[in-house]
Amino acid sequence: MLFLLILFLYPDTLISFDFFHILKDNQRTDSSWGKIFSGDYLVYISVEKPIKQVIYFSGDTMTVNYPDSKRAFMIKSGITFNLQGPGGIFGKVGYNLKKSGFMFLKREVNGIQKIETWVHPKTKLKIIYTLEGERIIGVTSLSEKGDTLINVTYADYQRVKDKDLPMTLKISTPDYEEIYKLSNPTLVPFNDSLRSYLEVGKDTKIEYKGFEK
Amino acid sequence: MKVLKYVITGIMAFGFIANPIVLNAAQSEEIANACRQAEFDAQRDVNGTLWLGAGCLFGLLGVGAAYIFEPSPPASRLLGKSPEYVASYTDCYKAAAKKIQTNNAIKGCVISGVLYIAWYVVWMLIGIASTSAAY
Repeated sequence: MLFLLILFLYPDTLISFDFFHILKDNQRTDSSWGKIFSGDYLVYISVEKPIKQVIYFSGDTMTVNYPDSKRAFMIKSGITFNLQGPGGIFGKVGYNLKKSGFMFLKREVNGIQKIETWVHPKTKLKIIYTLEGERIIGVTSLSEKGDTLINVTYADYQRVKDKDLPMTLKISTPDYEEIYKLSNPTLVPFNDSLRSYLEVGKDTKIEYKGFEK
Repeated sequence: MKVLKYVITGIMAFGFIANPIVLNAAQSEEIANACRQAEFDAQRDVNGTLWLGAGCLFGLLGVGAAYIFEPSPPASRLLGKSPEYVASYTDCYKAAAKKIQTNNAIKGCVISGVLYIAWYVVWMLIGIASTSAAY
């Protein structure tokens, strides 16, 4: 029943990107590349190098699948991955913040830039985001004491379908930095071949993490 | 010449025998690294203060929540990693994060308990003092 519901919610088309990801901190520099598929209610990552791997999210579970070695992990989280809402992960920021329990605090206009501040009433966490027109160019999260927890910048926008999408995302925290370089945005039909990415084969050994209680 | 032939054959044979050992050693090293990295990342990611507050405000309920709530590692840390790495990293991350949460919630619970007793003693002393002053 749940499977049918998920199928019903899936979009007809997805936007696919080639991606290159770098994660750097004082202990390591990791890189990987492959494809990201995104649509309403859905995002999944298909890694090509250094190893073939598919990662996707459903409810509170992240699935990491290795089709070549027929192994998969289903990792349960304490939180639900919020992919709902128009635009999937690229949906309206204000809409997504409101859905996550944030309250609008203030708006400043500085030339073509619009800076909005939102606060979470319980955690006192602040989110400040900057828009240029309809394009988001930066998000900063501040702790109750005003320390920067995370800073995300979005650059190199390209128009795909009817949306402007950032091709470079840089995530910085006091401890590490992550860069996603996206390219070649393409609208693709969500056909059986792409759906098969989201299926774990019957002969795949699944390891469950976080389900044991 | 004959000796050299034996030496080369011996080295090659040892190489073949040792190969799985070398591979296993590399894999164990990767798993150990994954666990060290996961513990380091969990330390960095988990908000200890939040759980201290939860323990302080909600006492045993906060401790219970800290124990039940299992944070999972962010997907970006698992991108392009081998199944062995993912298995080890996820287990160690969850265990380390849970430990930090629970320890902080217990600290919070103890702090709130001590504060409660302290206030109780203070109010009792005030009560005794006011009663004896009345006499």
